[in-house]
Amino acid sequence: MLTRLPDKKLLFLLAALLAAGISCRPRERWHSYTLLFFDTVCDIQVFCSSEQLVATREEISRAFASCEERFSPGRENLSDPLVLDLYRKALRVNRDSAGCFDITVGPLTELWGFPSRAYHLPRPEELKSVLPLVGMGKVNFEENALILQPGMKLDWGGIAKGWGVDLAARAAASLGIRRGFINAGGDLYCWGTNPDHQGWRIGIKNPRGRGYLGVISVTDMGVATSGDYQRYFEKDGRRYHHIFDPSTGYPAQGKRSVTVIGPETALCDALSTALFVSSDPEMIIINYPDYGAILVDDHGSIASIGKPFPFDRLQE
Amino acid sequence: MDRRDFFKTLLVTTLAAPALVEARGLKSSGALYLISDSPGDVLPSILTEIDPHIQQAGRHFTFLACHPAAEKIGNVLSATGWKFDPKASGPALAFSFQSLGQPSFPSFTLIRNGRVCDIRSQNLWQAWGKINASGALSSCLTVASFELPHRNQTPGKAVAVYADGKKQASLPLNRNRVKAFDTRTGRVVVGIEAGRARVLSSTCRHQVCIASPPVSLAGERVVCAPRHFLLEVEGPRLVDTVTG
Repeated sequence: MLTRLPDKKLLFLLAALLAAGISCRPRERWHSYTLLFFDTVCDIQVFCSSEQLVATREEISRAFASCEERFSPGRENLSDPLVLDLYRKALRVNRDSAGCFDITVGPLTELWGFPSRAYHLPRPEELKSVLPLVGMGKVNFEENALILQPGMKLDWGGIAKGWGVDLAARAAASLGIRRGFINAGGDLYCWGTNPDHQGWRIGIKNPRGRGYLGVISVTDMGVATSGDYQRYFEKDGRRYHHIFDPSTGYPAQGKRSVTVIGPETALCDALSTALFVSSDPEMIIINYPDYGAILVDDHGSIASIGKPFPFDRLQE
Repeated sequence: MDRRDFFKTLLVTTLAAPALVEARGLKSSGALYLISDSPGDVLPSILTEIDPHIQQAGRHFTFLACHPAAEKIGNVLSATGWKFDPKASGPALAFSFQSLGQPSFPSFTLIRNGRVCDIRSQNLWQAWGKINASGALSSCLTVASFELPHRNQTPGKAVAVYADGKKQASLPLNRNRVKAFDTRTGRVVVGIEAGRARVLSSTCRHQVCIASPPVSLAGERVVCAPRHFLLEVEGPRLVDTVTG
């Protein structure tokens, strides 16, 4: 008993010191907010102090604004090192996918009226005149600049948003945020654990109807989805969506949605388009061993390819 | 059976049967409490009610205890595409059985996700008619418990209105109304009708928000990006965030 008393005192002292230490630290809690960039709602949820929140919000807004400015159609500076950097990434996916992902589809998306939403079903001769302007192999990629042929237009829509999310997530992490997610209209990066101290539960939208197809549980991962339901118009009972097969000039057929999960959101973004367009997606994902995908074909069947991630299928 | 007897049976089965299900260690999200000596007779109609919620691959059933009507139940289920599975952990549907202390009027109660199902649905009404027609007192309580897959989303109670990044209002979904909101870039009018919210009018160019389907489930949204306007249904959510 005599030997225990000093121990107790020591414990009280330690507890008091610990409590004092904790009370000095700024209190961390969950913060959620939305920003409007890329013509969509960007959801952000981070676990941090109020002081960190102000800085994080500024950094994320700056990252998104810089991405939006750099990759707006027709406004890009083709000798900007960051533009060249993202082009290299896009070129890698273009080559690995045998051209299924191609950021030179700008003239095609314009012909179909997607940027202006003045939709138009092109005649075959119109497509024939535009297809020679499509193909990353036709871009002269010099060391310090990209040189496009007359009439060519870059469409960064299939990769820039994911890149912006990566940029924003890195900025948040560098400010000491250890848990959170940044979701720009479905292209997202999540890190650390969710408020329940588990992996982040990401719902994959049901491509037909309401609700979710299923839930993936991941952490420290990017996620992006390409789907035929995101932007489309219907004419004579047929759906024409915005993900084009660069070889035909028509919207790619055979799938309703493709979700890609992997360490880099920019690559998830580009790969989701590549896998959507390709008739042999497994041959593409094999080049990216850290990436996995969930595919929904045009009959509604679900397949998982590449690296497996926990996926809980849901049903209406 | 008169209304009083119906409620009495409902009360007895509702109170007694969950204990039976729990005693079996079952994780169930639904149960059918059936007072009948020939439960197989009404099963097809009642199963039609839960069938759409069970995947084709999951249509396996088992008996947790020796059931006097096992053969009859098995035959009825086999005829509708169900397969007997002796492993108690795997099946979508598990039957238990208990003798009643005294003969009771035939009845059934179908509980799904903790709620008694509305008997007005056609299948249940049919089953109800059939079971009442038998008339004779029963000595057997059958409990069929089933696990439903997770519901996708739960219905919300209110819709939150955000304009220019700030929450402007929280409108209850159970009250029909029309309300206009002025954002820095223009006016957006929101309508709530029959538990669903939608954008009725907006001064934006492409009117995508007006074409968006009405929302009612927790987490669903309608966005008007040009007007920096967002409707979001509030309520418990199944997921942290969404892709697609």
